[in-house]
Amino acid sequence: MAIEIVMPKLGWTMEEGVLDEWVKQDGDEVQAGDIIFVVESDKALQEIEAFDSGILRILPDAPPLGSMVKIGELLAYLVAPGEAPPFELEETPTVATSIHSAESPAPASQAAYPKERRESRSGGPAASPRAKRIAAELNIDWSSLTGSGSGGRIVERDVRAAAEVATATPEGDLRITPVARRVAQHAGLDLDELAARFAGARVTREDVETLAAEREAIPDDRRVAMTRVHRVTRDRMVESARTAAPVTLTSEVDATELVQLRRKLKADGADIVPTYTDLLTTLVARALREHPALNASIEGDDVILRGAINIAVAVDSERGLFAPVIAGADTLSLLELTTASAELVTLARQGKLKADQLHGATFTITNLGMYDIDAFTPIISLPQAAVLGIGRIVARQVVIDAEAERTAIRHMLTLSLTFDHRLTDGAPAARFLQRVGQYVETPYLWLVN
Amino acid sequence: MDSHELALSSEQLLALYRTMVLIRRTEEQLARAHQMGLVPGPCHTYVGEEAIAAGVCANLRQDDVVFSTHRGHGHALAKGVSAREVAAELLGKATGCSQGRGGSMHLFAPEVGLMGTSGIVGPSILQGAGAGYSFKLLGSDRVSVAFFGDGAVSNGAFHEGINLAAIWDLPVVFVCEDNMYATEVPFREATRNQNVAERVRVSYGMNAVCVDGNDVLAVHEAAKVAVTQARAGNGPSLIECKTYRLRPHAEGMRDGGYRTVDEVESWRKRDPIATFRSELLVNKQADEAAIDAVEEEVTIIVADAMDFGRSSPFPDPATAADFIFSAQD
Amino acid sequence: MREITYTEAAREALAEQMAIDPSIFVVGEGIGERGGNFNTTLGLYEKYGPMRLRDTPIVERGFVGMCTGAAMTGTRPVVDFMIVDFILDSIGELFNQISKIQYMSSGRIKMPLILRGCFGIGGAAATHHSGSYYPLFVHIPGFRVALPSTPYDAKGLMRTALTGDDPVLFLEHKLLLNKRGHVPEEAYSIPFGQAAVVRSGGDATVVALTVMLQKVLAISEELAREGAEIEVIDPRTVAPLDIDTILESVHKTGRLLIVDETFGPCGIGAEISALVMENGFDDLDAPIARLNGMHTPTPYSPTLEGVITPDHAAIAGAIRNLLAE
Repeated sequence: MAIEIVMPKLGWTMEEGVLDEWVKQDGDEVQAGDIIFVVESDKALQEIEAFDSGILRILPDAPPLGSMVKIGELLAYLVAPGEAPPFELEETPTVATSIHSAESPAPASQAAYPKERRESRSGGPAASPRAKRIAAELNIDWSSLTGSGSGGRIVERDVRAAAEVATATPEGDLRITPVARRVAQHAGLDLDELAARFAGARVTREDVETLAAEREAIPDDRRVAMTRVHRVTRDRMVESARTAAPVTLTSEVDATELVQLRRKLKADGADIVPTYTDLLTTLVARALREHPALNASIEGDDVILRGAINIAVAVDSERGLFAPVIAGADTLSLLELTTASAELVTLARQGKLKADQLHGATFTITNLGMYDIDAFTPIISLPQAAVLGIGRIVARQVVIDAEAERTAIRHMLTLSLTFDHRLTDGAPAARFLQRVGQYVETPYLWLVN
Repeated sequence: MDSHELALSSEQLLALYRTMVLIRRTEEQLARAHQMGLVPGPCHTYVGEEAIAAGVCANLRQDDVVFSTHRGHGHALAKGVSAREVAAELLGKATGCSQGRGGSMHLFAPEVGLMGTSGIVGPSILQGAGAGYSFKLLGSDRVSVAFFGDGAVSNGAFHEGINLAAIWDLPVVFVCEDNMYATEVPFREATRNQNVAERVRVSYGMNAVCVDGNDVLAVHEAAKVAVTQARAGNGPSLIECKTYRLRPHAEGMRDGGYRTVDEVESWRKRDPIATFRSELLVNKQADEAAIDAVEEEVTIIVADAMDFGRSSPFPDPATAADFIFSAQD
Repeated sequence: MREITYTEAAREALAEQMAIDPSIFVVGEGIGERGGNFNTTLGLYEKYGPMRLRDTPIVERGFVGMCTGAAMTGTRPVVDFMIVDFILDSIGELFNQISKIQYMSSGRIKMPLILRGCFGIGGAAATHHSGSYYPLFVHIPGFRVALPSTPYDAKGLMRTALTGDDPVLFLEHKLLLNKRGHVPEEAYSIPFGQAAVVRSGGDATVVALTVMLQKVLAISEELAREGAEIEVIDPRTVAPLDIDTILESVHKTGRLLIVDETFGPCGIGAEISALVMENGFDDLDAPIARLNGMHTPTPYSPTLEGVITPDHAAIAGAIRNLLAE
């Protein structure tokens, strides 16, 4: 009895995921608990384990790696040894879950431009300009493909599918030493290009270093495909920039007490010392409890004041920008929060965040203080109402008492709050920021509650 | 015209004469240049009508504005555009007053209040009213003048513009140059009532007078009254000037078929410049030597203007689409 | 943030600028004491009086031509033409004068003139009160053409119109006038030539103009539930047209539909389509599609008027067809 393997739903807002990698290959034996494949949803990579044992049989027409797949779409079967998978038994129609194949009636009122289909001029298959361009880029002979577009037109998805098949043997005939391969990858050299240049010969480390040195002498423009994470970030930032009505408020506060607090915790020999981000997250969570308008989201004509206070903390990693969520931040003690946050940061840097750890944020904190940034204008992550940017803490001379002409060396911190003016006005946002400032200046105010 | 001759000094009279001669000599040179193929496009001369531009513009300040017609070289020169800039523009040069973008029908020199000559009959009346609206709104005492021909009088723009200026008391002087033909269509065939001033008085309640447009002093006197009234905030008026164009509608066009040689000859005898010259001599307001000196000076100015135009560079083709918007895209 | 209507938003920008700039005046029929047929100037006459809120006789050519001269000489006229069909009487002033003055004068005369009023099909207004005509103004060099589709855009684009030096055709679809939306109280400008990507998506690009925008957005939400993500772009101004944003989107999606209530021939869709083919041919994965109102004068009876504009079913069908190409 074949068991269906489908695109799983990971996290409550997920509607589709990217099929990132088959860990097990067609025909491999799988034990329950083994990782079969990897899915990228939103920003997180998630390993999908098998619940059953059997032989993995991947659909011949399974979505290519890197493609977006709707949840529930069939990818493979687990069959008993010797059992034929359903697709080898009979022609099963693929489930039409996609809108692309939906029949739709011609609009009734549009008579101005009657459409007549034309045969392609060459008499061969028609291909869209985009399909031709991508075919050229991927070195695919599109004229041999079967089109899935209207009237059999070859469209982008057909070329990409063909390319997946064609690149099953990476780098073709390249013979390269392992060291040379590592050096080449480190230097950002294209292995295909190496294969072409050193056709037939074994490529050594010296070859690669010579080539890398040439490249370094006159670096070419490099076209770097955005990672999925980067693309998600791009889309979200654009959506936020186009949709929200952002206003950024900045405020300089005296963080001397906060600095003292952290120093004392450190001196006390605690196992885990809160970072400034942890301190800020903890106190911001308290301030949000008092200012629910900033812990809100927008839905159509309604503002939803969110019950839970879930704070996302932006983390920079090699894979891109992540914002893992500290759920119920206002209910955690400083040390609980510190522990939770350290774990999330580690996972983020390793690219091991689970989808659930990236969802449900109601507010975001981003810290650029370590790069000597004072103030900036962070971008809101929709549908949240606001984001708080943390600048560097810098010691300088400030006026303590103007009348007495008294100054002192204090640790100053600039806070940058961007809020969405569609949800809330300037004054409430300013009051929130003011409260955060008070908490920074007098930590016992929030440490006690 | 004895009553107002005394109002003007010899210098003022000679200045009027100088303006008229400047227009005449420039037009003659432009007509010649056109014949030689140096004017790439159309060329509508003002020969025979010089008294009107000279008489009206002598009453204007540099910050007053003039909206003109396709027959506008005279208005441009009388308002203070240099002969060099007019000549260069007609020759299509970068140094022309419209930098080679306009030619005969689109002379612009806002620095001296020439807000454009126009290839379309009628808009000068509306735009002239609009400038009056600006000046009134801004509390300025500037005055706007709209020139137009008898050909515009049956056009809707005339009735709409005159009416708007009248109901809102705008500081505008409308100057109708009735040269008897709209291109080739006689005014008498275009309307049942050729008395423009009367029509404006009766129909739109606006002050209006009719004067001999070939008598520079009559024009000057009427314009002085109208400009003074407008500047004082007492509203618009119209001056109807009966005149005649002595050259074809445009250079190189056949001039027969709609008017007779006799008619042209009869108006040539009433040439406004020759008439004014003999008046000045008869009334001893200027002597031959003074008048000759003016003629000589103008001849040099115009010769220099044509040299300037001919030796100036053509506009850079790369600039063909410049100035469409206030800031370049 | 507070919500106000589209008309209130545009009027707020006008009122703000009139308070700052004494050279602004409005002309039109009934825009004085009455406050405008569509309340475009409500409450301004009491503040600024008849010189700055000038009721006119019904002489569109006359007052448009007059405002041309005013704009040339230091003031900033706003022609409130009520219904765009009416200014066809002044087409010579518009196309021969207003659009050309800056050019003819080598940039020495500015033309800060705003032509504003409502347009579009709806309310059984019949064919002398339902025109659009903006493609004509895009064809002619020298005009800025703003087509705000939200109260927010109406206020920001009006301020840009009132602070620039170019002639602007500012058109307000009659079915949008009473739509409410979030509008900041403070003054702000939306630059011309900057499209809004109103919705992001990777499967197809839909350019929606004016009253079509909300319909397209609603349909996009429906399609999203079926798994198709539509990118929706509102050009906001069609002269200048932000073709870069459209090209960028088509680069991503490969598919493009332009939805515009007014006529197709030589229209905005035709122009966008040509520009995308010229500049983004190799990005196209399907033929570019257009959806326009029927090429006919506007009929009166609701059963006739109802079928000549792209409705929900027609738009949804067109997008589905595009996705299936």
